[in-house]
Amino acid sequence: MESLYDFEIVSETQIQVKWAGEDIQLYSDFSLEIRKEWLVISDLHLGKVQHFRNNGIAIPAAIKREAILQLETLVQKHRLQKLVFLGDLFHSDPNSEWNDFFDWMETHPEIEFILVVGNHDQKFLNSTFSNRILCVSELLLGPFILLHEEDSKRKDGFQISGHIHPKVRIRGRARQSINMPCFHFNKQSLVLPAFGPFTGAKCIKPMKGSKSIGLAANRLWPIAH
Amino acid sequence: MTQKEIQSKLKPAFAWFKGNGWKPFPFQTEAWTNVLQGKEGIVNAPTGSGKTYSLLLPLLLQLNPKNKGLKVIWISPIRALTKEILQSAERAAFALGLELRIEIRTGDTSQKEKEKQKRQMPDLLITTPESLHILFAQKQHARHFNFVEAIVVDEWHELIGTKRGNLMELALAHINTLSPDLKRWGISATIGNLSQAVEVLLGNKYKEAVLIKANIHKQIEIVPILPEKIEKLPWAGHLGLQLLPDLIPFIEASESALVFTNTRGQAEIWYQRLLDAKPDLAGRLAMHHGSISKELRFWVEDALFHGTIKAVICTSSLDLGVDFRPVDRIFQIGSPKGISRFLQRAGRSGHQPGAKSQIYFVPTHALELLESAALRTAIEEELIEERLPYTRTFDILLQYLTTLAVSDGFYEAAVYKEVVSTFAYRTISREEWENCLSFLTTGGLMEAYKDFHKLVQDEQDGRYFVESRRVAMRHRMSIGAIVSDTMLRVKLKRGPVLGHVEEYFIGKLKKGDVFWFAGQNLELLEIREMTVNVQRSNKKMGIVPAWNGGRLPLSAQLGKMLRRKWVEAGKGGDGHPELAFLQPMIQWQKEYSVVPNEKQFLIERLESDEGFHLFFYPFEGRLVHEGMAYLVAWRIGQTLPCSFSIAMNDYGFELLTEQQIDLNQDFLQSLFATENLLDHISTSVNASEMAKRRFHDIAYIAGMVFKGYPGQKIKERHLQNSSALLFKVFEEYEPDHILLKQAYAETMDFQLEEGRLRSALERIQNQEILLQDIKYPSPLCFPILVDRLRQKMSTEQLEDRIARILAQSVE
Repeated sequence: MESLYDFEIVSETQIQVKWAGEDIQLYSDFSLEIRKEWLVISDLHLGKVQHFRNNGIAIPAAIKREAILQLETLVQKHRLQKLVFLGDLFHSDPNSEWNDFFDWMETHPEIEFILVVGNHDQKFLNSTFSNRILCVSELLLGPFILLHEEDSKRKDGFQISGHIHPKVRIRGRARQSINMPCFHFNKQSLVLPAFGPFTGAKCIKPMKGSKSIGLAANRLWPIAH
Repeated sequence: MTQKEIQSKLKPAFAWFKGNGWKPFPFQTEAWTNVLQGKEGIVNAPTGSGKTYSLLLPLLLQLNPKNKGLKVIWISPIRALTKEILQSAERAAFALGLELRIEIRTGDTSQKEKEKQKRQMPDLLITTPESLHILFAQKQHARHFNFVEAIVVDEWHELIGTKRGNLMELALAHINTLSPDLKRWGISATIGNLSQAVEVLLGNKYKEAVLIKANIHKQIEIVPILPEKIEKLPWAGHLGLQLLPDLIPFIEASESALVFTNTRGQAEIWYQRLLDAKPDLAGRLAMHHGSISKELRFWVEDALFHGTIKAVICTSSLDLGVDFRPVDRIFQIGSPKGISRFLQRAGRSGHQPGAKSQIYFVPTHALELLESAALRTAIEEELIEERLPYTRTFDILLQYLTTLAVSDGFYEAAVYKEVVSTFAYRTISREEWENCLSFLTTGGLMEAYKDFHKLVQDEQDGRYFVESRRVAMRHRMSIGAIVSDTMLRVKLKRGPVLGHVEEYFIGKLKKGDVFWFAGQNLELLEIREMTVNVQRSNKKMGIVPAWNGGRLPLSAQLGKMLRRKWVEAGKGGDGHPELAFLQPMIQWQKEYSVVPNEKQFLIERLESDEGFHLFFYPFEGRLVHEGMAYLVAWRIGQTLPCSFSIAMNDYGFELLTEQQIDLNQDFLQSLFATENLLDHISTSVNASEMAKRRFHDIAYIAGMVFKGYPGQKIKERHLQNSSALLFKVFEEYEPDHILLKQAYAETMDFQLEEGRLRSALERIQNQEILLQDIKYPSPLCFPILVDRLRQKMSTEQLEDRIARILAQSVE
């Protein structure tokens, strides 16, 4: 049977995937590129560190800068036009981290920012910030449906989602094993890893026909299940 | 008080004893006198020896009736014990003609009862260290403690080696501040470091303290349960069900028996299988462990007390306290891991003074019979473990400071004085203290105040307090030093709560699945918030919950004795029935490998489909083995980059590699060198793996990980967090954090037991190292080989490891 997707390793940090008749690019910086124009990242959970701190839990504040640094690196590297946040851009109530993010956004007027709304973004929609970024519940790009949470009941397209923060475990001889965050393909769908530096991850259960691309040591690692 | 005054004060006590036909033990009269003389100290006496009355009677006799409210606080480490103390105290008060309010306050006490106590405290309060701290967290708690005359910490030996001991030290210091004339007493069973136990209890005032020894020695007989043939015993295992048929006649022959298992899951399985094998035991067999509901536990304890029950399958939940006089037989299934725990359990029978305690040892695998022999000799030679106190536990200190802040707030100078008067915190520096305060007020040393909200400081008088009601509420829910997974309530549909199981276990079940819990087969109906609704099921078999924890390591003393018995077994057995019985297995070991003598250290090497296995046998318990395994693996890895999979049990450890490793005598010797030991441990990456596990509890106790509670709002769920992620963040951004440092210190002291590791290495260095190639797994290595719980250690680059593993899975 013909595989539903073909992988072509461009470099250690880039893999081209032929899927649904399109060529999409996966990068070791946790991003996905569609039609050379749209860059997609998922699950930043901005404001999570500050939310903890506001509640008296002393997470080192230095990690707040990490997310913005990572975003700036991403923008510099890809010279992109459109950046899609695939949900859970924000973690909870508005706080100073949100301000830092919008300040950063303003330094990039050349980029169009789009938020596909996720379950954690409800507070954002109700906040005064909500008009500062284009919000959609889903985004249709050719054969792809970009949405935050995969909907297994829908059959009208190839779904690209986030939400579960996938990671994968590989096992070798002598009972060796390693965990790493991953992109996860399963026939009609693709799940993106969490971009945010202060987020956990959940081990995916490999299904028949599914495939993961692991992320570790600044490289991409194709893994067959 | 003069001698004469003391004698006259004690008259009612003597009279009461005489009236009952009792004669006070010398240690009791010694304690009575010392209490009345206003001294402080520890009474060293075993359970069932009259230790309660040694302190309770003089304290009751000297109560000042003019003061209202709390006068004596009695601390019990477990709730099960409080009821018995209550009864003893009521009996004594009645006999002495004192009209006193004596009450219990624990997690089992009703809200109504607690409210009543808050309005007016009883004269004598029986409580736990946690409940005491929860009381401290209430507004105006100080008023309850102003007239406290004495605190007795019962079963102090159970608390001293845990962080609950630190909670107790802080509580003693705090109440002493509120009531300067307070007298502090402890009751402890014999431990290896009894005089240190006095120092820890009394902090900087330990020098004037007294240590009163009961010197009561119980006779203990250990009877191993042996099958007809050794083939009936497996080489590995931990349930011990093979011997169940052999055990039944012994249970039948007892009046009332306690069957100790090591885990709650094991208790459930034994209960179920015993009933299957002997259905007529139904109604006469019960089960007791920490996760079943208090109603069930109370019922079992009552039945034991009144002798209306044949046998109870239990865990450490019945180790302590409660005096079940009718119990005449004790069974221990599997290794008790320590001599003092075994003694404590053995002491649960034959409570009558002078009676001999019998304990039946049921091995779960063949080699465990060595332990039966080792325990016998250890008891003969009065070898007993130390319980080393935790010190400098900043997680507990941060929790305590928050507790005070949640109440009425605190002044820094006063609390500092209180804290450094304890043994645990006597060495903290001014800088560390400032660190703790800034952690609570600004969330880190150089951080801005405005973005952090836990403790705030009053600008006028400098008082620290908690402003946010939500912070306060979350804190009150999280007080304590015992960290467990989130527990869900198991409730019968339209029926009572049966007990608690870990969320982790229930998470694996789906609707309609059947599981075995509290001695019943239950079908899962639905999970609503923190409650699992179930109904009884007729299905024969269900899954048994695996509760986390409970894998205790072997104590150093028992390990030492085991090494001796292993050598003795190789020479024929030295009169122990267990060792004679083990001979066929020893022969097997001799034929396929070797039984070393006392001057030899054995390493077995085996090649299998999985790779190359090396087995080492220091007999030092799994924790020390883990540390030693990392150390040895790291040292091997310095000569060639290599990845190891590590497994261990209490007898030895295994290193499994993909490639063959060259081992000559000199290289082998160098693996156990003590030079640069600390350096090598801390540079080996896996020291941080162990510290990460330690950090899990620390983060929770210090209030950094919040587990949630029934009916919580979404808001709170956004605060749920994993300690592993936190650990990673701290390692990267604040490597000098006090809590991180504590995790490393604890790893060194309690996990690796650096001192014990060092002396084990020294011992091995003076031994001849025997490297033995084996074709088949030997009896010694087999249990380690089959253990699926594995740790990892690697000196390879991450990318090389991934590339190698992926290449293998393509093959």
